[in-house]
Amino acid sequence: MLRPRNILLVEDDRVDSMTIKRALEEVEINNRLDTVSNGEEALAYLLSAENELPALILLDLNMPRMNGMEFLRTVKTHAGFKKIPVVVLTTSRADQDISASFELGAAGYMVKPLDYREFIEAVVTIARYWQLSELPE
Amino acid sequence: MPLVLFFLFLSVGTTYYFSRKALTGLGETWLETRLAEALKIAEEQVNLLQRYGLESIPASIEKAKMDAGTAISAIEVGELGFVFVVSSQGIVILHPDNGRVGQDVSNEGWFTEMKHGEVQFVSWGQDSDNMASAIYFKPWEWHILVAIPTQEIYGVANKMGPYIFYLAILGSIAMSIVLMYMTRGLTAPLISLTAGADRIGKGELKTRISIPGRNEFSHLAGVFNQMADKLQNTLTTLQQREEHFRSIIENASDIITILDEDGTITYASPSIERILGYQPDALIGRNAFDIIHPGDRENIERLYWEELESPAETTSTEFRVQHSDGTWRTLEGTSENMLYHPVVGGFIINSRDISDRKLALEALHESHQELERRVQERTAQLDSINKELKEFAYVVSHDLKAPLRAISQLAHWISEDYTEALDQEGREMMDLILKRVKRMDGLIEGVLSYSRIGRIKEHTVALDLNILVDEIIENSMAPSHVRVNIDGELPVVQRDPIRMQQVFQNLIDNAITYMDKSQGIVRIGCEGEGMQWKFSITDNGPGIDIRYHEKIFQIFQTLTPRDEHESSGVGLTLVKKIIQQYNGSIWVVSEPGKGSTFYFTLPKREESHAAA
Repeated sequence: MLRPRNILLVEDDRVDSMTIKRALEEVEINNRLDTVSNGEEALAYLLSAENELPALILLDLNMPRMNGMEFLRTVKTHAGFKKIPVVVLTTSRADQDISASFELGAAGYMVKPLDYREFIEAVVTIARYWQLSELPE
Repeated sequence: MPLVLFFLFLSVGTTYYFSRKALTGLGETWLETRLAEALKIAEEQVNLLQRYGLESIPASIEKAKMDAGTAISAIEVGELGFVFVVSSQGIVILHPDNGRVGQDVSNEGWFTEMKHGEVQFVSWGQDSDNMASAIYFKPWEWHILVAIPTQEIYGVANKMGPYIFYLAILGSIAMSIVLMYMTRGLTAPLISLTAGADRIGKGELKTRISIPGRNEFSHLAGVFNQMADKLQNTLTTLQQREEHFRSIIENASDIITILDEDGTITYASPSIERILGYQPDALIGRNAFDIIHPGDRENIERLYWEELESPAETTSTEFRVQHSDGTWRTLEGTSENMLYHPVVGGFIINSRDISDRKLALEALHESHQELERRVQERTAQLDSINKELKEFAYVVSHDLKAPLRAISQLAHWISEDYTEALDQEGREMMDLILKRVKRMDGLIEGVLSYSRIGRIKEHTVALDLNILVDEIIENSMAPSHVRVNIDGELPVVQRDPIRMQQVFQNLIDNAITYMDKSQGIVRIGCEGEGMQWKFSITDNGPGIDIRYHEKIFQIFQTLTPRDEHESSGVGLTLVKKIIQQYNGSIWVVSEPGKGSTFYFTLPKREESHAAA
């Protein structure tokens, strides 16, 4: 039932990356998790012939160099990448971030909970959803 | 004068004629007497012959005829007159001129005339006209004639002619003078009447005519004077009225102008000089549109034509007119089409200077704009401050919360992954870290929600507070010893549901959280107070010392240790800010140990009580 393809995590906070990794492992979601720390790196990852296109992108918004919004805009205007679901995973509860993300074509938006248990629940919910959801090939 | 001369000559002629006729008559009578004398002589001779019985003796008869002839010849007839005898056969028998004796005059006209009747004039040969008288003496068949040259008869008259003529002239002159005098008696009143009428006609209404006496003329003069009196009175009244209205118009502060069909000025009241600097006379004949501001001309012309077409309409409008110094003045004018008025015959424009008013309005407008500009400036400043605050809130929410979350995560992992390495105290310390992290998160969230008030657009709806508060009570999960209920009815208000929820939620939560009695009662009530609602949240909790009635509304201020009652210290600050945002007020009434009542007011906005 698990899609074999990897998940791309775009996240500059190491602790958050660890949390997500830990959470996926804890609930035995075995997709490979590739982590990059900003938008530029994420684009480079997608454009590299070595990498398979990810099944899901988990995107932080506040990052150095190219932030999440810029990355989202670029990905969603790229013919080859725009079908990849991007779920925003961020600290910001700001209305403008939520609406801007969905306008740019985000598949979901989740605020990182403070509590570790809640955080795990959130990550698992997202991962499970995208495991079940049909996606275009 | 020709008439006088005519009369003069007529009278002279008449005189002459009559005097000549009189002379003729006189001459005739004179001739008659001489003729009678001659006849008497002839008759005496016949008588003598008869007396002496000689009437049949031809010699005696001849003698008698000769005697008679001599005697008759002796009769004097003036200077040149004479007596002569002609036989019935027309032979001259006796004539002072012997040469004429024996001449036949039977062919003369006067002889035939004489034979048939009377004769008046005789003449023959080289004789001039003679006046004559004849008688027929039958016994001798004599025509005895007495003749006198007409010259002699009329000579007197002819000599008298010049005298008569002069006399006649004198008489005529005298008569003319008399006539003139008499005529003057008639014409003088007429002349003075005519002259009087003329003078009145020329406008000299004080003219009066005086004709003495008690005739038709003096009566006429009286009537004339009465008429002049009335005329003068009427005219004086009219002049006074005209002056009255003129002075009203000319002293009016408004400008009154009359325009003809083309807009040419036919009258301008003197106030135009004060307001626009033009001499009224200088404007007459000019077209009014020429001094109207080009920007207003089209509109004014349009109104003018509209009114020309429908004269019943009176229009009022604003327009700019050029002052004689070149500046522009704003006038407000009303025009009335009186083109068809028999006396006015034009457009009456009544206008007043509203430049000052206009300037004042403009100044007001400017200061208004200035004010607006300043408000905008302030708003812009405020906006930028707000934006900064927003960004600050964003940064806070993200940048402060991210490390906080990391601390929380790491602490969690340490307590999970290193359970064996930590003793009881170490695990408690890890718990404390997690709790403080949560508190810190609460504080940050509090600041964020506080900063969101007035920054986030509100959604005003008709909100039934009975439903809202009921939901809050239900979700508050109050412990069983605390009873929360609504006292009476709450109104329906036009407010943002989230804000109202924050208000009631915080106040009710506080009442529940700090409840220290075994039987807790929290009551929510509301009453109308004029233009506002007054809400109350009453509890029988610990109460608040009056010292803290202000402090409790300040941010991050709590009255109990946070370890006892986990609190961000933002709740009441948030409530106060919301209430103030709605132009209401909030305060607390409390008796320590017995409980508190939080009151807050909200202005009514087309709201109705739910019960109503």
